[in-house]
Amino acid sequence: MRRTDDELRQNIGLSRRQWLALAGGAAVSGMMPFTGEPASAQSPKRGGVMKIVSPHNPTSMDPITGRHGNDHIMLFPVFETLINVDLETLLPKPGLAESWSNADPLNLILNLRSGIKFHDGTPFDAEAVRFNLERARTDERSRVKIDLVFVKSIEVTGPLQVTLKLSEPDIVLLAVLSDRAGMMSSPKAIQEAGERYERAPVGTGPWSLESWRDAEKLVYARNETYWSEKAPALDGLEISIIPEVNTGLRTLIAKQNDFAFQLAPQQKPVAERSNLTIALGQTVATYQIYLNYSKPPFDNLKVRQAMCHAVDREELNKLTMAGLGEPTVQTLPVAHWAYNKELEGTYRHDPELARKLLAEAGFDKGVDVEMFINNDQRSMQRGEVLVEQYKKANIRILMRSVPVNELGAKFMGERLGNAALSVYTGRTDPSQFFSIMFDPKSFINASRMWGAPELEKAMAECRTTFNLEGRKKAIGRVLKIVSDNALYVPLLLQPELNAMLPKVRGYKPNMLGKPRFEEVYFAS
Amino acid sequence: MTAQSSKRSLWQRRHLRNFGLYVSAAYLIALLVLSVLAPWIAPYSPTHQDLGAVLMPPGPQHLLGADDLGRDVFSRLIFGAPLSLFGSILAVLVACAIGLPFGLIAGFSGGWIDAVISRTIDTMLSFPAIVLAIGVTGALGVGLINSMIAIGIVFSPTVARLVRGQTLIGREALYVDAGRCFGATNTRLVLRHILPNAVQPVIVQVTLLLATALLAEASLSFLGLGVQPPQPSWGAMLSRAYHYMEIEPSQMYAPGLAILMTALAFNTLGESLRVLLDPTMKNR
Amino acid sequence: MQGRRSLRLIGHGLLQAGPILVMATFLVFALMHLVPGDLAFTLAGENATRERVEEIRSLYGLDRPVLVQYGSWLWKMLHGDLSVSLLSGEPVLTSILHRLPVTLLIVSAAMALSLLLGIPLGILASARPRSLIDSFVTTFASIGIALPSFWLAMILVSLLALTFQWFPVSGMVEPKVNLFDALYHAFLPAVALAASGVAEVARQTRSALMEVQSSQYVRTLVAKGLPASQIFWKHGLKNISVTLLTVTGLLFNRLLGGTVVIEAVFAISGMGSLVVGAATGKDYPVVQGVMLTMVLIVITINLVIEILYALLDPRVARQ
Repeated sequence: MRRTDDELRQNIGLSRRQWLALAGGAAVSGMMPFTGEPASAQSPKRGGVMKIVSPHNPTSMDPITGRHGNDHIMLFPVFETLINVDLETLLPKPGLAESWSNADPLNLILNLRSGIKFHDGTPFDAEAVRFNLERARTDERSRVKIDLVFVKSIEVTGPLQVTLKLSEPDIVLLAVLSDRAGMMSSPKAIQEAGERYERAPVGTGPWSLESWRDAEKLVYARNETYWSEKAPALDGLEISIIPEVNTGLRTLIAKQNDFAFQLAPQQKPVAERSNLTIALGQTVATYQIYLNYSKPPFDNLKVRQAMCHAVDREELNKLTMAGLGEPTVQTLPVAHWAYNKELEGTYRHDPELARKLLAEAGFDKGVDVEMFINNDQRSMQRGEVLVEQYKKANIRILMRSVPVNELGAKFMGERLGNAALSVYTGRTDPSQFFSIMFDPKSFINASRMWGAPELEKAMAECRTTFNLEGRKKAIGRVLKIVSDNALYVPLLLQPELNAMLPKVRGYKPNMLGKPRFEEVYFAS
Repeated sequence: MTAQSSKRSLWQRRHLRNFGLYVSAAYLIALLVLSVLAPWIAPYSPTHQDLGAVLMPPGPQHLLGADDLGRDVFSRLIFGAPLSLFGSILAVLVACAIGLPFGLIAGFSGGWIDAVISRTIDTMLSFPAIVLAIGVTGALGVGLINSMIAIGIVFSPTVARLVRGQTLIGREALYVDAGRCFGATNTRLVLRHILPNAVQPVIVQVTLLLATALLAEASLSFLGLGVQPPQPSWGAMLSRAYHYMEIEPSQMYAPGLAILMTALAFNTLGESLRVLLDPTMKNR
Repeated sequence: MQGRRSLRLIGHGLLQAGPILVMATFLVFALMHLVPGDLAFTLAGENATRERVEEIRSLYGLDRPVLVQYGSWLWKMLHGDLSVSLLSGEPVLTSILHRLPVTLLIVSAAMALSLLLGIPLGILASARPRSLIDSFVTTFASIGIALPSFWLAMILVSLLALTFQWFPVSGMVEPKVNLFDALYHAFLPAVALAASGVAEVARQTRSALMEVQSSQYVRTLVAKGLPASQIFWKHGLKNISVTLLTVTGLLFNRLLGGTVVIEAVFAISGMGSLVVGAATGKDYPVVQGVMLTMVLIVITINLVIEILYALLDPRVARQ
């Protein structure tokens, strides 16, 4: 269910105004209306605990030490970010900071909302923000350090004002502050809990975490002192962890649970047949093959191009996503504001051409590729399809299935194998994607080198260009360089398939593919 | 019970037992032939994917239907047979390779060596087999070979205990004493007199263990710790079928039945061999 | 007199169980050292700095001799410190204590079913050897033993939970929250698990009773003209009680292992799903914790059975 073009244009139009406003240095008012549903005839009924099925156990409930993009779903009820993301356009909007200014590109001034308290009663103020950002930037266990590399210092410039001094202009910082690094924890709770904080998080969000039984259940209760008048309708959330999505859906059919997210697209007919409500959305989460282009055979451009041509994205989509995904050669969905139209039609499925490219590269007998893959059923299924497709182009793939945490450790950490098939869960800003994927300093970049000489400059331009049109061009240029050099193999954008009991109302899928429950309520 | 009826029933039973032996032997031989000839017999390649056949119910085109990637279930079943058989045999070989020598040493030497080995056997048998196998697989890493080595290690105390018992019996037997009088070495005694005596019960045990190994392999593959895709294995096929149970339930019957029948055949064969090889069992 | 003997028996049993327990802990400990490669790297996980690896190395004492490591590991275990999960940081003991009741409930239910169905079936079969009932029971027993329990579980889910919706598809209720509901949830898993148990118990009961029947002693009683029912109740049952105890012990061990796979089918968060998840995720402290708990349970059960043996059968005590 892709949004119509008109809606899309509207969204971009709105966001452009928004963007220009902030790029021009004017503080955006905190009174910006929430992009909620138009007020329906039936106003949301307050109350009820929603039982949710999640296929993932969080890797950590400490925002800055977590290791997986899906943790956010469990973090959002507890934590709020300094800057929010408009879930329709993925552009920034006010969060815990009611306005900001970057009139001077080397100083980002954040003005905080007043009167907010953490769940444990600690007041939320400039000092708390400084503590959190400092921790995200320097704590040895922090996994978001790279996001804040351009932050030189963090200064409290007022009881409710923080100024970030930057070494380089960095527009992406706004997106960073709407992600893990911008999630605000109670400094008192962190100091008291030490390393155990990752199991007992304390934020300012609409719910607080009551308990987390590992790989079993997370229980959230309403934050009675929530600051916003837009308090959620639901009294609580109970997230049960059932790794197997089919079993998860079965519990919905049996009415043991109310809501299931990130279902396999193939389950759509089953959910429909069982009279469940379905919410289907497009996300920016991308399935892709990471390549280590620092060693043979992928140090050869022609072999990488062969990898891109040999894959049949349409078939992969039909077999593994019931045709609901969006095949992509550039990671960004067609609906994204920075989508590069120029790349359309590149890397069409052509096994013959792939063989030819291989032969030109001197591999007339084909190549052997060792590819890491996650060991869950659905990843394996995707892997099996790819192995079969690549076989036709004389690319012999040896699948190494490993647990999620090990895929990173082996392929990216120890730099073993040649390729890895995984999902990039999608960050809000394309620039974030670029630095995470292609910056030699990034852990994710197994090659540890620039894939193309012109890439570094082009990526820097994305970060330092502040107007939207310019950014669009700069991002388009990076997309083109990455595509020309075939630095990775983008495959499919994941559809978000959620199913819920008919009594669940008000849920909207979002582009990040990470469900939010603030506006959900039960029908009376 | 008159003598006559008893005699008749005895005849009947022996006949029946042999019937079971023949059927299970025939089934296993057929399975073996199928395994070897799989590439020629199977209508499709086990990994051939057909977009048009995804989750197709059984029919003329696909005898047992097609799976979630449009692969022919019948062909995968056939190609799964050698993996399951090879896996079970490997596991039992590992069990014997460890169990036999330790059992012999324990039974023959006695004393503290026997005590240590026996306690180790008891200890290993105190672990639920599948849990120990999962633990060892977790340490070694997943995959058919590793999981089968794990199962072999788990089964080794069963073999060791049996061999130890047989060795003890053999050692006490008169002919060993006689052999010793003629100046035979210990090694020679073990190899020439005790081992052959222990072989028969071991053969029976091995056949029964094959069934257990097959079930264990299926369980581990079902849990994703055994055979890795795209290789077809019966246990992994079941796990896939389970995911699509609501859409195409027919897919979970064939692989399960294959496991059941093969395990049943190994068990029947083992029980029949036990009776055939053990003269004292014949009349029971 | 009786009390003293029991005490002596318990002492004897403990003496037997002691070495096994120690050896079991060593096996569990040694398991971690089967891991190929540098354990410190594996434990440190993804994105670990060199300092972190060294920190882990000294934290887990991996730089010390193996026996010293074992000693300190055991010392920690004895104090109830089972370390924390590498993946989630939850204390292993917490996970286990939370999940154990669920698993034990399923195992006990399966055990009860096995005995309640298996013993009568075995008796029926042995009462009329080679009759239709006997053939039925024998065939059933053979199939039950060769039946993959998880397959049976799948069929049960498909039929009774999805098609007829008589039972829940998956999940579990904590016994302490609502025992009745917990039993209701445990029913299908227990049935799937009990199939092989019923088969085993029926088979053993049958063959033990047949043995009693063919014994010289019972033949004499028959010749004396004692009614068959009286022989059965007075002599048959008493004689098979020892067999049944042995079977119960072995069965418990097997059912405890069997739940691992069954829990996966029903998505029950018990010990089984815990150890499977940990093994696939290479979360060694959790794998060790589960194995240790399970072996401890089995050893305890065996000890109890050993003692019961002696109380039931004076011959064992005299040995």
